Amino acid sequence: MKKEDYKTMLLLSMYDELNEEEQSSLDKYLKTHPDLKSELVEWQKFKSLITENMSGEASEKLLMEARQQLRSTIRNDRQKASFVNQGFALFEKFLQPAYALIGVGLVGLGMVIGYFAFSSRQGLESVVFQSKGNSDVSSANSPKISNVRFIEANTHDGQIEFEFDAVSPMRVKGKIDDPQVQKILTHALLDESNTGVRISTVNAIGRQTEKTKSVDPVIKSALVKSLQTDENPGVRREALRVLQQYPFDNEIRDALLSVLSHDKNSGMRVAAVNAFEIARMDGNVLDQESIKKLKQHMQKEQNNYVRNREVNLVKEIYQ
Amino acid sequence: MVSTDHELIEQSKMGNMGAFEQLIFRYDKDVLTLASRYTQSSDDAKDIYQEVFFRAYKGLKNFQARSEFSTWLYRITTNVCLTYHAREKKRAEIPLYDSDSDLSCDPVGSETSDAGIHGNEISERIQKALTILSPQQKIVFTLRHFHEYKLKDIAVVMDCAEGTVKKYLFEAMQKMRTQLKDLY
Repeated sequence: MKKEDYKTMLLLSMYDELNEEEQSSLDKYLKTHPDLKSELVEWQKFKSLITENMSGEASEKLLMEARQQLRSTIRNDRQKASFVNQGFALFEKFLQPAYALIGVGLVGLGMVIGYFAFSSRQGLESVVFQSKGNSDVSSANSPKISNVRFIEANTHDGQIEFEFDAVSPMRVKGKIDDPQVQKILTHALLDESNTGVRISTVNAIGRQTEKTKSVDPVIKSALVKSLQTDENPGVRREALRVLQQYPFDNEIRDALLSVLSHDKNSGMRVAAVNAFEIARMDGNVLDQESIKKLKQHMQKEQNNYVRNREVNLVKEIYQ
Repeated sequence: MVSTDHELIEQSKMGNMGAFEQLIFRYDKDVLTLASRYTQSSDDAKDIYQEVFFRAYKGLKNFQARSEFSTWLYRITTNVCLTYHAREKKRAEIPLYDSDSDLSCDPVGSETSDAGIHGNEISERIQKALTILSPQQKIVFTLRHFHEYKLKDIAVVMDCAEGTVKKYLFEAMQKMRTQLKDLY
């Protein structure tokens, strides 16, 4: 092996990329070549320099911002996909001559099937809400048929097989701890693109929580997620208001600290300080680690008002 | 019980957004860190993050599990980073640095360096030195040095031979060392 090969091996050795045999061969070579040994020392110094000065991870704040943005992008895409793409796909499909004739005939057939399938409400609802226990479900209005997909257009027995999407307005009534109700509320809170719907969902949860005084962990987690990631400060504010009705615990404490550290809206940060104050007045005690985080944030806070509120909060904690 | 990647992938394919989030939140900090180190800009890193996970979201239905999900995700990240560089290069008609601070010439800041140089200044020097690497050299260097990926794994992610990865790493280290030799 040439000296140049050993030079390359030095670097690989530093990154622990040599196998046992190669490493042993290099070690032997180094014993008789002090110049190469000092070269290895130089490489190690260089590696340490880079490691010591460039080892940070992406900040939590940046991560939260990126997640919030991604959620919004996907939400918009889903919205677009359901209303535009499917429409175009269907349109394009029907533009093809082979499908055109069948399509016209099947639109009529679809309407007939739709009539028979959905004139009986019971049938559809039992499929959609099979697992729903005590919820009272009833559909209203006619279903909208879209996205007809042909599975078998030319069968020998003269039958045609296809599937389609049928969208029908549903009404659901149930308790907040019902899994089906939770599924819909969580979807409305986290995935709905319409801000008004998300705020209404939070308000509905709030009213229900006020009445029942019950704490549902699934809904609570959805509220915490909404508080931390919703793009709209109004929704985040409402989520915080409802969370204040829940008993103060570590999950809520962490969510409030996250708001203080990551929320760009100063009003939200003030609301988080207020929530801490109320929790303190209710007899909840903050642990030392949380107080430390609060102090750290206090030093970084750019907004004077928020910082003063945090200073007062910390003073009150120590009184 | 904690769901496996495979379970979360299957649920995500069925349109469960909660499962998709749970899946990507296992890896997204790593991806964002890689993008930050690669671009040295939080805004650009966020752009890369968006593109990577949006591609993952769109492409998940075609994911056949022939490789680990993390490998697939890092492959997307690598591709996006390399494309990002091409895009930036195309867009940047004005040079990033003045001609008198051309990094391809003498070691950066060698005239001003002394024993009292601060940590932040060293970081800046390292960041500047990183900009002279080719995209492939930079991605290999970042994955190996900061993310401690083995060279054979980087070869899988970059879809090239291990020997090529070694070459990129060696070239990257040589260039960086030349630029920073006054600092150690």
